[in-house]
Order: sequence, then structure tokens, then C-alpha cells
Amino acid sequence: MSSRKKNILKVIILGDSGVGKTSLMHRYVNDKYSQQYKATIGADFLTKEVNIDNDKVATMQVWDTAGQERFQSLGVAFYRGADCCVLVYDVTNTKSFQNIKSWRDEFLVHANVSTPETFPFVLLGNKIDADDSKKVVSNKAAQELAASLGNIPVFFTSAKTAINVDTAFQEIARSALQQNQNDADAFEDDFNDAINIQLDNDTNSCSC
Amino acid sequence: MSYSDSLDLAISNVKQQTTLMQRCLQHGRLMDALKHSSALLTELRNPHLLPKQYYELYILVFDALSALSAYLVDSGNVSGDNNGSDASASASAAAAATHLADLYELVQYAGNVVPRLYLMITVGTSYLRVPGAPREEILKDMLEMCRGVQNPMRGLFLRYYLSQRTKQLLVEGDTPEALEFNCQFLIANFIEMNKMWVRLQHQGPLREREQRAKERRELQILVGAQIVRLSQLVDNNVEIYAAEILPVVLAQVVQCRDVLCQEYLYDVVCQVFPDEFHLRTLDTLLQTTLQLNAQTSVARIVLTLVDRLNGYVQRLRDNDSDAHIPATVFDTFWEHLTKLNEERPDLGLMEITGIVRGLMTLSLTWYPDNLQNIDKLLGLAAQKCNDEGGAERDPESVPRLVELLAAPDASEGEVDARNDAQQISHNLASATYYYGVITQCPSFIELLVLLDAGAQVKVVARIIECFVSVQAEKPATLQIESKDQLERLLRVVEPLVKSGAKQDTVTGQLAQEQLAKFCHLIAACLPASREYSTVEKRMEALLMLKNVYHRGGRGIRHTYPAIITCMWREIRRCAVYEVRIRGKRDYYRNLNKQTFKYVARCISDLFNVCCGASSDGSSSAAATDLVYKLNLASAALADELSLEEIAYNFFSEAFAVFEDSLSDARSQWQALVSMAQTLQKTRSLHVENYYSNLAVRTTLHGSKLLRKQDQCRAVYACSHLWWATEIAAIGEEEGRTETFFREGKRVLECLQRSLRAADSLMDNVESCELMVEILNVCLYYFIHGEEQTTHVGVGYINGLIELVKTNLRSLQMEQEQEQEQANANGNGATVAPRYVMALDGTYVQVPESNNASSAATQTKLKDISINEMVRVPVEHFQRTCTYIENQRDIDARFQTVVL
Repeated sequence: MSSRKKNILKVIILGDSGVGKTSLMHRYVNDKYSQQYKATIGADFLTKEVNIDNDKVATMQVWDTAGQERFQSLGVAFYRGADCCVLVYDVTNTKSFQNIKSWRDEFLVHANVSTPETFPFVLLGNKIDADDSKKVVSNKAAQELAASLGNIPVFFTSAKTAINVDTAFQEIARSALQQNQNDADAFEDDFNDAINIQLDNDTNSCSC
Repeated sequence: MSYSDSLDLAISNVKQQTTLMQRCLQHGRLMDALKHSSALLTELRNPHLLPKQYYELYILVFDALSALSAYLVDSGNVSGDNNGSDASASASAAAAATHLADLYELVQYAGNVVPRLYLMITVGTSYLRVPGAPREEILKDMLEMCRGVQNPMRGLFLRYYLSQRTKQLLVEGDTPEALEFNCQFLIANFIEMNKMWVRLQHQGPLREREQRAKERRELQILVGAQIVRLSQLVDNNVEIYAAEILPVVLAQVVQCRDVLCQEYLYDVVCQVFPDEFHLRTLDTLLQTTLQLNAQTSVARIVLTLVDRLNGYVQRLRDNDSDAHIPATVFDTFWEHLTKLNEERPDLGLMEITGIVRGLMTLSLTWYPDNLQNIDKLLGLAAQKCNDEGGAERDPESVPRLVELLAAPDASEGEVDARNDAQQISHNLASATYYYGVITQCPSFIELLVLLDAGAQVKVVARIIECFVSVQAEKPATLQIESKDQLERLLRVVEPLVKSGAKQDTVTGQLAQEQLAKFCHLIAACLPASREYSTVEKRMEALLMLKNVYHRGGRGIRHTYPAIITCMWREIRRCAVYEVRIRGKRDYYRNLNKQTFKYVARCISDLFNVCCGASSDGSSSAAATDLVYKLNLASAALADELSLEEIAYNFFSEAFAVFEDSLSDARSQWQALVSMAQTLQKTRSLHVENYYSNLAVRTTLHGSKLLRKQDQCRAVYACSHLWWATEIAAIGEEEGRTETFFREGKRVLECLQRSLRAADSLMDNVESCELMVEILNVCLYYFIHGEEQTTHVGVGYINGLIELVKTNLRSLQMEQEQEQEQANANGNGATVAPRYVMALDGTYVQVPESNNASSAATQTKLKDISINEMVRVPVEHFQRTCTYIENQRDIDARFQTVVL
């Protein structure tokens, strides 16, 4: 039966303000790019049907988030239930690269994931279409960071010229699906215990 | 069904119900699944949750309902997928539509309103996905039904849910009608949410106002999200934004008369719509601020907008260096500011200057070369400051005003992040800016004079600091192109001059320090400027400076030395020209004579203003000493340039100061030593008895000093006046130069006079010490000249040694008695500290040997035992004897000295 059930994969995109999170999401979901800059406030998602490795279909829920904390007045409860976290920096902005680790930590603190060690992250260095003179974060540095964060995959993308965006999201979808299934299996085990207690409870105290 | 008592229970209940619901869905038991959905939705009825807690539950509920929605959509499509033909596909689509329509009706029978509406929206939005569904009708229905929840927090989340679910599912098509409908849908939802959000403020008891304000700030994002949805909907369509959306949003903003709402929604509008939209609607955005609540900060709104537009220009330039920059943006802001200033006299200085600051960064970013804008802004700030009765009335605004004048574009974070090269280029840009503003914006001064002294110093110090660092990095950067520019620069420092005149406080002194720095800065800049390429012109500039500083009253004792020093530098330059430029020798010589007159004028001003009877003692004494030394230094310079007459005049001035005003014994002695030092090095004065007049006078003054020990030391120092020594810098060499001024007879006279003074001293320890000192001076002459020229021979030295010995013996008798006493007390073993006597007669403890870091310390007389005192001349004498013994190897004459 479970093969009929279509999975919803929840993916959270994090990174400093202005690194291009919204643009990446739009490029991936709508294949559109706008030069206009709009700041994101709060959190917002787009969904896209994905086909993973040509045999599994899933709905990907891509959550774009505000890079500026002041626009998250209700907190970041929406991290919960994520299946994959995408960390984005801007290759022309050192600070955004330096902050990657704190974004990851922030995610782990609030997402309440069951196994932080194996939770899938994907690192994206965006804006590689920029002039070489403006690039300040080397690919090597990014790869070293990715290795230090537990050998997470790293992609160099451009939302503007659509470089690597699809490839990166393929990998994101694959990681997310894997995580989703792992979690579902784990939960299934847990739940089989829990449900018995609940049923006992129900029969004994129906009068309330 | 009821909700759980705590958040934790609620969360576990929602999770459990979600799993049960998913199980039912897996087995195709939709009705049971709906029952579980309804059960988990019950948790959202809890009125006791805080916004963040409610949001946490909401996220779980949202995920659960996503699964339900996916199932509903899927079950509609699955039947279609299985069948190949178009006809049956449309037939099954119709069946799915009917099914969902029925379900939409069915869920409305749920018992409680909150679960009912969530389910309805979930089913309704699934229904919207079915082709051919009556979209407008469903959307309108859902919107209408949401009115059923009027509790602000629950209502806000419900409508947030509606907007999240209907995303990508509004009326399809690119037709204007579709867009119009969708806009109206989102706007209607926004208006309702905004009303609930504002209403939350007025619920519950008054004492919980703060708590409610906090909750509202947390919930604001739900309302803001509606504006985000609108921005996504209009995409690039600025027409519909300007015509339909912005006016409605702003109308809500104005109508609600709520500070939080007004500030927040302005912020959101600025953030989520593209910059091009703001440029297009700038006028509307700004004009509407005139209708806002009096407590709403217009400054904050304007600053948000300015930040946003500054970012826009930055991005524009990054992408395309010669991008077209609209020309009227500043004017629009300016018009708004002047109108605001007129219509809202209630706005404080802080508020207005906040906007001024924002517009300054705007102008500097958009139109960096336009200083007229800056002038206008500073003018308005000055006017507001005046209207408010000066900055003192509102101390908080002072740092802001300082920023306006001194740091138009610096934020602290940026400063920290700069590396050296960036710092230099930033300094350069700032210096250019400051120079431009000072020379082109009269309002700069207008505002500066309104500040208090401390703030003025801060501003001027920052500017001077910047100029100085630029001058150090790139010397020819600052060019003073005209007298007018110099005058304007001077006007900037004028307030400091006045504040120095008024008060002798720390601020006043800091101000004077800046003025001195400024003088050196100007003098350093002048030679690079075409206008000031001649000495005459530069002197003119220095005199302008002097005239301004003159108004500083007693402050000039800090500033005039800088001016005088700069004049000396001009004199030296001029002397070089005198040698190098043919045919203009007399011209430059006369010029220098003139310049010395200005120097003399400065010094006598200093004397008249600072050394008068009206001033307090200590600072007057310091000023007198300063005047004396400036005279000596000027004399030395004049002598060096062979201007003997002038040198003589400065020396006589110095004597006049000495005789009339130096009353303190110690400074008198020091003054005479300085005089002797300076005079001994002069070479030009050997005409018309100038030199001997001055030398005799110095010695005479020395011999008339009050204290014998001062007399003694002054006179043996004066003996050198008759024994010139080589000055290598002017090519003199001992043994070759024939023209040294030397009169040994006078030297001996001095030494005799000195010895008499030492002998007549009552304190026999010091008397002895002085004799040893004189012995040393004698040895100096003995080494440096033949007996027949110096008149200091072996016989004289032997006699002196004998005298010292006799005196020391009588001293030691005194000492031995004490020694016995000390031994009797049993503390003879301790190592006694060592002392020497300083030239002023004080005892100085010598630091332990090999310890260079510990400095010698002066010791009070009462702390020293007579033993230790006696050891001073004894040891000095011993050292002198050792020296004589050593000299015997080098100079045979020393063999005859009897020890």
C-alpha cells in the first residue's frame, strides 16, 4: 500500500540575506529569474513534483526563508519535519560563507531532527556567473567546508544563468527522499508500541 | 472534543492523530481520516497558547493537512491515470469534482468552527485543483466563511492558512479580470487580518498592554505574509500595484491609526516590492506619511525606504557601471521633508535630524558630487535646531548632529571591517567630502555653531584627524585654492577658538590642541597649493590664522607656539631661497626680517595676554617661561641666519622677561642655564659688543641669584660663555678653527666667583659637593686648553683638591660618630641605598646597578641620614680621582696633579 502513497519532501533553504535563496527556488520551481530584488520576510514555500531516479515520484515543498532574523517574528518552527536543509552562500561575499556553519547549527537546534549526524545538508555556492574578479570564496574552501561538515555534497550554482540548479536539486530531492523514508521507518517502529497504550487508555476511560 | 492542557500534550496528540489519519488514508478510509483530522485540529482551539506555541502547533497541523490534501488530490487523479481515453478522463474528473464538492459540503457539519474551517479550506483547495471546478465561487465562499472566527489569534492563523493553501490555486489565466479577482481576494483577506491584528491591542485588561504589544509583534509576520502574496501576484505589473494595491494598503495603514501597524506595514511594503515600484510610487509613499499617527516614527519609515533605494543604486552600479540613475529622487524626498517640517511642528529634533541623516546618505549614494543637497539638509537641521531653542534642549540629539557634520556615511560595523587600503581610500574620500562641504556649504558652519563646545571639538577633531591622515598618506591631496577657501576653513575652527577663550576646561584644552594641529596641517598643505606657492602668500595665510586664533584670549598660549613654529619654518625656507635664487638675495633677506617681526609680534601678544597680573599664578608662570624660551629659540634662529641685530633684540626681550616676570628662584636658575646654552652657540653677535654685553649680563644675573648654590652653579655654567666650542654642523673643528671666542681670564674669574659662593654656603655637605663639581669644571678646561690660555693650571687644581679634602675630612668626622651609633644598633649589615645630588640640590636615589628599567627617584631630605648625605660628595670626589688617575696614561700633565 505504501507505494501508492506519494511522499511530501520538505526542504528548507537557509543562508544570509541577499545570497539568492529566493532566486534559486524560483529558478528551480518556475525556471524563472528576476533581476529585481525583493527581500523575503517570514517563510514561504513552493511545491514541485519531482521524479527521483526515474522511478519514485514525490512532491517537493521548498521553503524559502528570510535571511534577516527580524523578519522571523514567530520563530522558526517551520524547520520541523524537514527532510533536507540547503545551505546557500554567495561566492562574492565572504561573510555569507563564514556564516554557513552557524546557519547549520541554528537549523539543528530548532529542527529537532532525530539523528543530527546523518541529517542531509547540501551546500550551494551561488552567483558563480559573477566576474572572476568579484569572487572571493574559492571552490577549494567550499569543498573543505563541505568535508568538515560531514562530507556533504556541494554545488556551485547560478540562479541567474541556471547553472547547476537542476543538478543540485536532484541531489537535494534524493537526499530528502532517503531521509524521509528513514524517518518513516523509524516512526513506524515507535508508533506500533505507542498505539497499544493509547487503545488501552481509550477503553478504560471512555466516560470522561 | 476538547483541547489538551499543555503544549507538549497538544503536540503529542497532534502527532498521534496525524499518524492515525495517515493510516486511515493508506487504507482508503477517508471518513475515519477526517475524524482524526478534526481531532488534531481541535488543538488549535486552545485560547491559552502564546503566539509562538500556537505557531508550533500550526506547523504540525499544516504538515498533517498537507498529507490529507495530497490524498484528496491524488484520489481524484488516480482514477484518471488508469484510464487512457480522453472521454473517460474527463468523466472521472467530473466524478472527482462531484466527490470533492460533496466532501466540501460534508466537512461543514464538523462541530467546532475552527476545525470545520480548516477542513473546509483543505477540501476546498483540493477541489480547486480539479479542472473545471467553480474556482471563483469556492474562493469567495472560503473567504466569506473565514469571518466565522473573530478571535484575533485564531482568526489570523486561519486566514494565514487560507492564503498558504490557495497559493498557486487562484483564478487562472492572464486576463486582467483574473488578476483583478485574485488581487481582490488577497486584499480582502489582508484587510480582515489587519483589522484583527490591530484589534488584538484592545482586548483584555489594560495592564497587559505590553504583553499584547509583544504578541502583536510576534504575529505581525502573518499579516506581512499577505503583502508578500500580493507582491508575488503582481510580479512585474507596476500599473496594477500603483493603481490597486498600494492605495488600498496605505488606506488601511492610515485608517487603523495604530503605530505598530503603520511602521510594520511600511517596512514590509518597502521590503517585498521591487525597488522600481518604489521609485514609481515614491511620492505616494512619502506623502502618506503626513497622515500617519503622531506617535509613528516617520524617520524610521523614511530610513527604511532610503536604505532600500541605496541598495538599489549599489546593485545597479555593481551590474552596470554607467546605469541610468533617476535624477529627481532626492528632490522628491526633499520636498517631503520640507513639507513634513512645516506641517508637523510637533516632530522633535531627533525625528527631523533622523530623516536628514537618511537623506544625506541617499544624496551621497545617488548623487555623490552634489553638495548643494547636503547644504540644504544641513540648513534645515540648523533651522530646526534653532526652532527648538538649540541643541542643549535635547541632549540626545547632539550625537546625531555630530554625525550629520562629521560622519555622513560611516556606520561602525563598516569601520571595523576595513583593511588598511580601504581605510586609506575611505579617508581620502572623506577628506574630499569634508573639504567640499566646508568650502561650498555655508550651512555647515551654521549648524556647527549651534552645538556645544564638546560636540564642536568632536566634529572638528574628526575632520582634522581625517585631513591629517590623508596629508600623511598622500601629501599633495589637500589644496587650498584661494583665500576664500582658507577663510572658510578658518570659519570651521572659529567656534573652537571662542570656546577656548571662554573656559579653561578639559574641553577648552582639547579644542586648543585641535587648533594647534590645524595650524600645522594648514602650513603643511600650503606649499602644495598653487595659490600659496610663495613665502609671502604663506605668511599672509599664517597671519590670517593668527588673527583668528587671537580671539581665543588666553587660549593662545596653546595655539601661538604652533603658528610661531610654522613661521620659523617659513624663515628657514626663505633662507634656502636666499642662497639658491640669484639676484633675489636682498629680497629674501628683507622678507625674513619682516617675518621675524611677525614672530616678535606673536611672542609679545602671548606675553601681554597670558602673563598679565589678571591670570592665575601657575599658568602665568608657565606662559612666562614659554615666552622666554620662544624668544631664545627665535634668537638662535636669527643668529644662525646671521641676522645679528634681530638675534640681539630677541635676547634682550628674553632678558626683559627674566627681569620683570620670572620671580621663582628655580625657574630663574633654569632660565639662566638656557640662556647660557643658547648664547654660547651663537656666532653672529661679535659686533658692537653684543656678545660680551649679553654674556656679562647673564653672568651678573647668575651671581645675583638668591640662593648661594644656584649662584655657584649658574656662574660656573656661565664660565663657558668665554670658552666657545666647536659646532660641527657649521664646519667648525677643534684645533683647526682659529676664530673661537675664548677668554681664559674671564673663565677663571667665573670659577673663582663660583668657588666663593660654594665656600660661603652654610650646608657643608652641599658646599663640599659644589666644590667637587667646580673641580670637574676645572678639569674640563684643563683638558681643553693650555694653562696660559685658560689660566686653569695644575697649581689651581691641586689647591682645589686640597680644599675639598680638608672639607671632606671634617665631614667624615661627623659621619663616623653616626656610623658607630648605627653599628651599636646592629643594623650596619644592611646595604644602604646610594644617592647623588641633582643640579638643583635635591638628593636622588640611584637605582640598583644593572637595572636600567628602574628610574632614579627623588628623595626628600628628611628621609636621608647624614651618613648617606656625606657619602654623596665623598663618592663624587672618589670618582673624580679615579678619572684623574686614568687620565695620567693619556695626558702627561695629569702626572703633576696631586691626589
